[in-house]
Amino acid sequence: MEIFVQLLINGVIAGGTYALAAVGYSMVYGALKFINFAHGSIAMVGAYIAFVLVTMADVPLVPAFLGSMLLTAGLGVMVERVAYRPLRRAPKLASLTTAIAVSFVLDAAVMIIMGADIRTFSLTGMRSYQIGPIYITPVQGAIILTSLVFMVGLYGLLTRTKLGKAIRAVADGISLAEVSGIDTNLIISAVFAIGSALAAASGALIGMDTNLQPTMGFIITVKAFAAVVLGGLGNVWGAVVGAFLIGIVENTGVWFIPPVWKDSIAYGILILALFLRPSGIFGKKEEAQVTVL
Amino acid sequence: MKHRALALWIALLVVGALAVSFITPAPLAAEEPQVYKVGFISHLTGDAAVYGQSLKMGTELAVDVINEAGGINGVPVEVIYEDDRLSAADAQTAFLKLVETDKVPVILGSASSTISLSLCPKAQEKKVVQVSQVSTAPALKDCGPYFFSVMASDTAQGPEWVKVAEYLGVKEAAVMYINNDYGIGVKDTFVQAFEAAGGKLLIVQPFELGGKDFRTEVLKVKGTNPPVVFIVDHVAEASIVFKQAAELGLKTQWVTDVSIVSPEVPQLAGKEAVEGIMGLRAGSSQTPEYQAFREAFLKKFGKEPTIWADFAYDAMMLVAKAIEKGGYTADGIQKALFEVAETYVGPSGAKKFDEYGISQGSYEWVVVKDGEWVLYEKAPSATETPSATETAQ
Amino acid sequence: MELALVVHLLVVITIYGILAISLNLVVGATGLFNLGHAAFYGIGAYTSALLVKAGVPWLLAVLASMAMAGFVAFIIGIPTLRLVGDYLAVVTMGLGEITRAVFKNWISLTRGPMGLPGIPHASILGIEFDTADKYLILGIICLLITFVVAERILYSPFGRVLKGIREDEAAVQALGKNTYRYKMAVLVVGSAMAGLAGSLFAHYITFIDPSSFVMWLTFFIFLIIVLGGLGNNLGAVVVTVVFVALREGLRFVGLPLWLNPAALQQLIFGILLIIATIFVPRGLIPERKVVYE
Repeated sequence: MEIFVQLLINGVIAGGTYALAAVGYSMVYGALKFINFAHGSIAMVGAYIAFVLVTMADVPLVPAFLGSMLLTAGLGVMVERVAYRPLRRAPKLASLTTAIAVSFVLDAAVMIIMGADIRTFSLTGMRSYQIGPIYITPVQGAIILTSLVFMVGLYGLLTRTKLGKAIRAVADGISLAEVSGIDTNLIISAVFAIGSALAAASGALIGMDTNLQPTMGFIITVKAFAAVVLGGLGNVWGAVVGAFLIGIVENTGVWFIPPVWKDSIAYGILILALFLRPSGIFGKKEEAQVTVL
Repeated sequence: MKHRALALWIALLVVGALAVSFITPAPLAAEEPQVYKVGFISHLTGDAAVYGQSLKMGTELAVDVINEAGGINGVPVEVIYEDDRLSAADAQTAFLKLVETDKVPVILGSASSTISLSLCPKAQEKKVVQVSQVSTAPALKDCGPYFFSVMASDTAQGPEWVKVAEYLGVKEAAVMYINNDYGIGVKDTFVQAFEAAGGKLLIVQPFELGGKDFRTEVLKVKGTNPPVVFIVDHVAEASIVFKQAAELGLKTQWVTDVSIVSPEVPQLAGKEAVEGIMGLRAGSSQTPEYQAFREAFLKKFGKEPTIWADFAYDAMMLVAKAIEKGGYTADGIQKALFEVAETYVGPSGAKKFDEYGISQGSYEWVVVKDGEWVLYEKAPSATETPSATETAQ
Repeated sequence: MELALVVHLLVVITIYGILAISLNLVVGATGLFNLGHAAFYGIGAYTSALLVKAGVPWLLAVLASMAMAGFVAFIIGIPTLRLVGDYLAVVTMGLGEITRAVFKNWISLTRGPMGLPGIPHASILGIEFDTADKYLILGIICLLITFVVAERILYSPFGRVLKGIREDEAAVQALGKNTYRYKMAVLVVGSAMAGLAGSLFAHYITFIDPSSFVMWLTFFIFLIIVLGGLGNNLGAVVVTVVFVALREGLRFVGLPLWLNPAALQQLIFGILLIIATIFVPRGLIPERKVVYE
């Protein structure tokens, strides 16, 4: 029984990291109806920036974490400007292509600059604590805490600030938002900034909990994507629920099934859920009409 | 419409064929080459890049040593490095480029047994010598006369683990293995040998290459309360397993295979997580040859020898010696390799080949003390492993 | 002689060309966002390899593997073709990964991660295609057949419906067409073609393992058809030639080792793609407009 609780906690931890990435993904999708396949690579860059700050610039952990979020936000804005904005009126598949190309570029660039070796943060004092039957490390606790804090913060941002309102307006309909005088370009940049910052948080936390590799981005993209769709496209909170669900099911599922099926479990749940509820758990019915091109 | 498209397509092909015939260079006059070129194929990018890059460093060191001593009969040697991206199809392309364009008679590679297996038939067909530094799948021995491996076959690790189990006095054990050809191979030989010796397996738990989260797998193993866990794995995943095992409170005696005995593992997993872990190390780190190699490596790269760099070094040295003795042709190298290996002792040990071109090997037992792999002082004296032919399934 | 390398690359081009054309039918013409295409490639490869190893004549095995791929596509199509756009994308991606997990795990059949070595060469009526030169002829024939079939489909009334579905499915349905049937048909045909490519691949490289059928491959083909112009098969083939030549040609550009040439190739590739996509979003060779009298 206690093992089951541990599995659950592990699932929540994994879900927390997916959630941070999924939220950014979902926001971008909501605003632009665009699947940013480079999202995981951006998260990876965030992880590496935090790593460099901590190990080479001797910046303490928390400032490095925040600094990485800031810098990665800048990267996200730049990527949008350079690679996505010119294609806003082009067929959707063109943006998809560029997104994939951007992920190639980011992955390769990091590999050249940082090398292909695996790196770790080598944080001292990383023992785990036993709370009852459960083992948890400070980083894992931080993951759960951070995801919650950022979720709450994001909620506040989206519902109580002017920026948030503008973002939601753009998500509802970009042309309408433009007509009502919103500087959509600015809002879109803001969305990318926030999304990328959260991705960086996700990447950095994953890096602290396990390790860093230039190829770690792809899996983050895939899991985040699945979480977003499971929760209902364009629904940010749905993405969060989706992420935690995937994390929990993965970790508990592997108990019974050989690990080679781990990713398949996540997909299987996703497919089943979509089959039963075609627009995702929280998706609105109209969302299902979105086509690709 | 349809005809126009077809015509265009055929035109493209014709143009392509013409272009090809123009860029094909005139055949070289048969003269002494200015440099001896040797090919190298391994995973330089992607998930397993740590191994390919490490082998590359070992090879580079050997090339330095050879060329500083004046090269082979006065001719310098040059290695052309190609990336197989851990894909059989890409390895083929790399192979063809090396053989057709660079015209090498010998290729070092690959690291992965799967890739080496996929390259081998082509090497036999094109009559190119293939010297793998660390591929150890048992199937490789049947590949053909042009294939060599300087590392002993996987079939030897299982029985060595049984020896460790006997030494530790355990009759029950758990096994964790990485789900690829290497992991499955070692796992199978161990399971067979252990059960034959009367041992009982508590759990045989696989886990996936490229995974980042093995907590559930660790918990399953923990649930069986094993006194010893034998683990066959690669550097990236192993460091995560050890780290998470420590976090989850799994207390046991770990015994690893050869591919985890690398300085990265204690670094990545954290000192506390790996203290006291035992492992097998292919070759021997106590010999004067290894010490000399280690110093040269430190001098050139500024760090301790990375995993299997010593094997890469020896592979390159053997090839150089074979060129020296047999000439710069595939057949000459192939014959000469057997001869030069008879008496060669390098940083990774004695490299005498059996009739299949697979090296003999021995293992030493190592343990992690204070964050580093060191020799396990209390091990029974090192023994020669049986040759690949004797333990072949 | 360098010729052998060029011949090898041409064979690879024919195989990828068939894959590109097959994906072009499904995605390019019909707008079905199928991210799991590599799975059908894999099914074709494994089916063909296993059958020929068991003694079945190659020609029969190829037809069987095409049928198998088409059949699996049919099964997958039943639940998924009701989904649209991005949902379809993630479901097909998931199914692709699940299929790969099956390859990896069904060890008794596929030898899992260890792969299937020693696949016999293709042979028709006693002529064995054991050298690259002979294989090139086989490849070109298959490519031409695929090309002709695809073009006939696209420039027929059936094809017009497909493109209608891509542009506006609701309108096509309003015209009384059962779009589900059309989508299913094209999915099955496209997947069968992918199966053909898989069979060619297996008997050429004579070794297959699950790592040959990863999602990255699907992305690669996606990029090809986008740049070649969606629905434009000639464009797809031309871009295939360019891509394969680029990807392998960069091996010849002698780059200093410390720059990590392999990652550098990926970087340059990615940057070129971004530039190309931005300046030619509709593909390098736009689709020929069908003119009605």
